[in-house]
Amino acid sequence: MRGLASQRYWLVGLGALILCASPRALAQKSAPPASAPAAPIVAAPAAAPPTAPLPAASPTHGELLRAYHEALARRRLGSQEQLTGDDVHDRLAEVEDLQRAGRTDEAIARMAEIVEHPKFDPYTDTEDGLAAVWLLGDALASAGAYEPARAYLRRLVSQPAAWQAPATFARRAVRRLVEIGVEADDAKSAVQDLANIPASAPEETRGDIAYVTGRAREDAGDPDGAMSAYASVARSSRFWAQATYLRGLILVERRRFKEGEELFCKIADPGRKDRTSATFGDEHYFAIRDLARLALGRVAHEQYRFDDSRYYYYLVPRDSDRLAEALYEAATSRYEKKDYAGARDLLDELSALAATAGHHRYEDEAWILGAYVDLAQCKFEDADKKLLAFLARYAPVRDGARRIAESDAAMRGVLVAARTGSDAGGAEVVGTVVSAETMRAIAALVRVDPAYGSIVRRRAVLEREVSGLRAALGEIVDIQQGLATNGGVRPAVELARNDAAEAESARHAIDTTRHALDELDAAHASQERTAPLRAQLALLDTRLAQAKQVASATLHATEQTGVDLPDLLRADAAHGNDLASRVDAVRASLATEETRLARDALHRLDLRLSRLLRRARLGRVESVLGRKRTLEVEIEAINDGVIPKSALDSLDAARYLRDNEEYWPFEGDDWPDEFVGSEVPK
Amino acid sequence: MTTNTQDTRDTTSTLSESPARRVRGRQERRLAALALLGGIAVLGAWLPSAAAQTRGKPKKGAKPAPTAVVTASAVASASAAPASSAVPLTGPVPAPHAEAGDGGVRPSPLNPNADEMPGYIAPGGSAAPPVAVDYDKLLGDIAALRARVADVGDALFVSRIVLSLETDGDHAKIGHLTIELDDGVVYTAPANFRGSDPTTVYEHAVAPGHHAITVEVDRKDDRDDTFRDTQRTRFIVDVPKDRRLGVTLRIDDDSNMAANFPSDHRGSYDLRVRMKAAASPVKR
Repeated sequence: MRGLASQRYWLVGLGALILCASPRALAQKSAPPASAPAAPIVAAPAAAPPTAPLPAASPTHGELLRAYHEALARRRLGSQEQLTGDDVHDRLAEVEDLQRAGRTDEAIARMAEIVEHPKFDPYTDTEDGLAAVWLLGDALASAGAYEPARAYLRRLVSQPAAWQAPATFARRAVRRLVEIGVEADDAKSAVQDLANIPASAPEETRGDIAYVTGRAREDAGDPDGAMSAYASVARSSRFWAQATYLRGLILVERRRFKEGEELFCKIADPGRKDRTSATFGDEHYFAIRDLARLALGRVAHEQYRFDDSRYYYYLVPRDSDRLAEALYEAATSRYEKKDYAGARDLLDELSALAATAGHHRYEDEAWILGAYVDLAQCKFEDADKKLLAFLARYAPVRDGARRIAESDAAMRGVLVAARTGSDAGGAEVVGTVVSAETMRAIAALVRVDPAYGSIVRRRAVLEREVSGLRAALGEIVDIQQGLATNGGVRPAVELARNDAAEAESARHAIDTTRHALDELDAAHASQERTAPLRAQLALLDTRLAQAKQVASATLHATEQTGVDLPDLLRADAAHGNDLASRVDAVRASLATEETRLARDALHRLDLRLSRLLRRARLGRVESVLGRKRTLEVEIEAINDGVIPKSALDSLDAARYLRDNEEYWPFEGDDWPDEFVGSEVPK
Repeated sequence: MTTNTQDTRDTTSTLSESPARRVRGRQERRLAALALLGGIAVLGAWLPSAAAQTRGKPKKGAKPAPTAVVTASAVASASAAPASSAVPLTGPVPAPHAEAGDGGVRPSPLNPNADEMPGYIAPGGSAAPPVAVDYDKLLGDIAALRARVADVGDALFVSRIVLSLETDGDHAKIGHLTIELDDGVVYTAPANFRGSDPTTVYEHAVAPGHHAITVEVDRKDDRDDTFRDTQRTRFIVDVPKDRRLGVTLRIDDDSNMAANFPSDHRGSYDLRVRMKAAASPVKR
């Protein structure tokens, strides 16, 4: 039973994972210097000059943009007009529109142009100037470029007059910095950014800082510090629900159930309406409230207060994402209470939910629990049917999960579907050996580590930025050639040759071939035939990496320093190529981590399904034993002179009628003087 | 080993509730009567607190007070625990005692093992080492470089390109849509993007001359997601000097695979990406 207890803690802890859903895996630790990639496969040209021709840049890289502006001004290029307050105001409106339309990259470029312009200095402390800096920081954060975003936002909170009332942009900057800390799972950096906020800051701001401080203390393994930080989050803070919930989790982890329960009750108070709340909260408030109700149910369940737990689970509303979880756990608690009818009702409700919403993540366990409820109610036939159906349904799912784990591409396809809720039936899988329905079942059942979602998001952001980097490098070439030809027109696209595109194309071809080989392996093709192909593919992969290194070294060889426009462009071209070469290392690290987490998720699914399949087989043994015992009981009863119901039923004449026959049983009215048909009265 | 023990107990318990109870020997009946009396005694201890709970589907408003820890301990003390083991109202709460048998708990057969949980570290093992990459710095560097280049390009080039996007198709669901300009992605559509009217998705100064616009669209059918097609279309445009080139991209879908193929085993994909461009003088 104690094992049961520790396992249920895990379930409570899962709620915390939802809140703390970002990995530490990619924390900024011991990053290799950009100029020190992994040992090269071939030696780079000896004449390669050192990288980073420009001076060490600030996180915003603003001085580089200012250098461009100065170089342009020296050549009388670009706008020679004065920057007016109206210009700043108009640009703000334009950038807000761009952000609303999701054109974040353009918003960054447009805002950085004005914020880092030498003529912007007179507007730095004006309302529009502060708004411009905030918008730039916000746009950078939206694009995932947290480092420059934090640098711009820090500028807003550390200005001398930043906290003079109403301190609008300082407060907004604090909010955004806290959000960045939570999104990037880097609360520690956020705390450092906010170290000098005065104690006289508004309560809302102090609440944000206290919350992120608590997260940082928890990350540092200091639950006491976290508790005290969370406790100072006022009810008027948007993070009050999160802070209170996390305090409750810390208390429950220490087995201080009563205090933890009181905190959960504050959030889960059922006196509130479903759509209104007396507290401030962000968009996560109602999700946290449902988590708190589940936590209350789990704590009560942990203490064998089954009726309490049933009540708390019942509070999870029908439109909640946690409804399946609540119904399943409530059914489990009723089963443990030996209220089998109650457990059956809840499982029926869960089945009805699946009928309307499709697969849910507890369908396998609910199936087995349903069979065990039948066993407990001595419905051995029903239980046996369910268990047989389970074995037939989920043994292929388990095998499919194992097969998918053999292919990285298929694994990612399934997990992306599981994470985003898209249809896994259409995900790319290994050949046709895994049916679409099995894929859907796997995607529904697999419990993805929140860290996986974070890694996937980071990869997507990286790919988008790399693509933009490619475009930027192309644009640098255009600008350089435009300057060299004194404004002459030239084709901007070299259709014949584009190294970056060709490298990408080669990479794509290699990946496709690897995928095809995975499919062959999955179809049990002969290893003797596929092994040489794999070796050749590895060789091609190595050659591609070598070619990219040589290309990068050649580009580095052209670097120069200087402050004129062509010099700056050359430096940026070299810097861009250097970044492109660093991207490969980051991409490989992310891919490795993603694969590890994906494989781990499928392995855990395999373990779970294997356990349930074993349990189903044991359940069948019990059903057979139960039927045997039922027969023994009937025989004993007959020996004692009690005829069992089934034997009584066998005397029922209606059982032996054919389809076209009817039987009207004698109902007790006997009219001896009734005249019937042609009977002759006596 | 643990599993086997558990199963045996489950089986025994299951059978003890079967109709056999009615026909057991006298001795068993006496034992059952004694157990019943014991059960009544336990129920007496439970009743005051149980009366405050809800049964079956509880009604809202009947919220149990969070002092139920005391209730649990009361049950425990009524059954086995000595009076001196009362549970304090504050501080760490000792593990409650569960009663075995009919009045107690039947543990669920489905409690998961610890190794099925995310982040499980086997005894003696250690967590996976963090990935040693300076991801945030790299992204910051790239974003800053892109902003610089866009700024300089805007200052130097007069010619501009404006990309607009429009989609059409009753059952088409855009799974993934990107637009590239000269092999760099300049727009990524949000999930399930729909643009019944042309929407400007990119506008920027470019060098006059030829540029490549690539549209990559992954389209799904809202009637059955498994029917999907991906198309990559590349257009070369010529941006005249000192002109603004308006490019309208239109994605039409008239596929009927999802509708017809499952029943008729016939169907067609019909996804077309069309482009029209018009140049006009740049407003200075």
